[in-house]
Amino acid sequence: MDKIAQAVLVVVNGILVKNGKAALSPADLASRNIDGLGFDSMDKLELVMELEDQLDMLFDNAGLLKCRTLQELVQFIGKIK
Amino acid sequence: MSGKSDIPGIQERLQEGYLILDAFLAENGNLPTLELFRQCWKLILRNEELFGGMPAQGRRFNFDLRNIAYIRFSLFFKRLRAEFVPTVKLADKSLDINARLGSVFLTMHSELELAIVKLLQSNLHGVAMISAGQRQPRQIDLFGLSPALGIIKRNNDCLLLAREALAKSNSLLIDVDYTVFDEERQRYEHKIGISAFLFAKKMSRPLYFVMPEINEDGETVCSVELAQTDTSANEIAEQFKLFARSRALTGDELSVGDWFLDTKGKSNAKVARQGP
Repeated sequence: MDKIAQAVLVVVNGILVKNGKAALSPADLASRNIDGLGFDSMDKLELVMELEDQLDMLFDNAGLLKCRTLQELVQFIGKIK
Repeated sequence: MSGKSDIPGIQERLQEGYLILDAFLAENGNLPTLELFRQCWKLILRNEELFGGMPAQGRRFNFDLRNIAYIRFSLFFKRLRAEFVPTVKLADKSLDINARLGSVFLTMHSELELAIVKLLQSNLHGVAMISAGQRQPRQIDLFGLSPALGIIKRNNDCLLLAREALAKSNSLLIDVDYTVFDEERQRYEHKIGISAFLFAKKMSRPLYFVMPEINEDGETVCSVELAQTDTSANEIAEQFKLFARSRALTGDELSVGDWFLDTKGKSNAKVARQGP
């Protein structure tokens, strides 16, 4: 698993666990839909800001909001890294 | 007139009011626009029967009934005098909100949110507002909002878009309250959502509480208070409750809730129309 995928997994799981939900496995990254995670607007903001901190990047919303799955999110970040 | 809001029936009562106003306008139509509006508003305030006797049960919101009457009458008046723009001002003129571009302003549902936007724009702020839907063009036109108000639709992406708006030096206006229907008690419970306070803290921007009120001269007067943000989101929410209570703008006992959990994220559920 590359650094970006690992960061996404760690941050997503941090929010899921905080919300009392089960953590994802690395295999889930390829299949899980972001909307299916049950994140509210604050969770999504935390996801993005935490990833920006960890990867030392800034994301633009236009590309970010097109990501429907965690795999697409990983690919989106990979393209601008 | 001190009744609290209940929307059904107001239109009919305003129709009655328009008859009285028509006679008044026929006699006083030569007054300058703002003076004519002021006199009309005083006339409306003197006719309590237009707004009295509203049933309190079952209402979701608890803001002053005057606010709805004010907007509807202002829209009516604008047809007579196209140049009319409602006056909006700060209660405390010494407060310099102009010095703090890109601030977050938290308020509660009042029907006067666009008046707040007008106030912020008059202080050279670009303004974005989180809203459940588009605002009526007539209301935007009423306040002469320019540049165009940025409306961020309430959904689970809204705070990302709000962050972007702040990054572009826009100020941001958020209604923090919402209601959920309590099936057991058969009434709406009025809450303030913690997300807005978490967001404000996370953005590290100047945070203001703002409450508009219509005075007897038909002007919207906005009370604005700078919040203390070097504390937890729950503490900031408590500050907000004190602020709202001190202005007697709600008789409800506000509780702090999670809008998303309470409503399952349905922006058009039986809840208030805004609140991230």
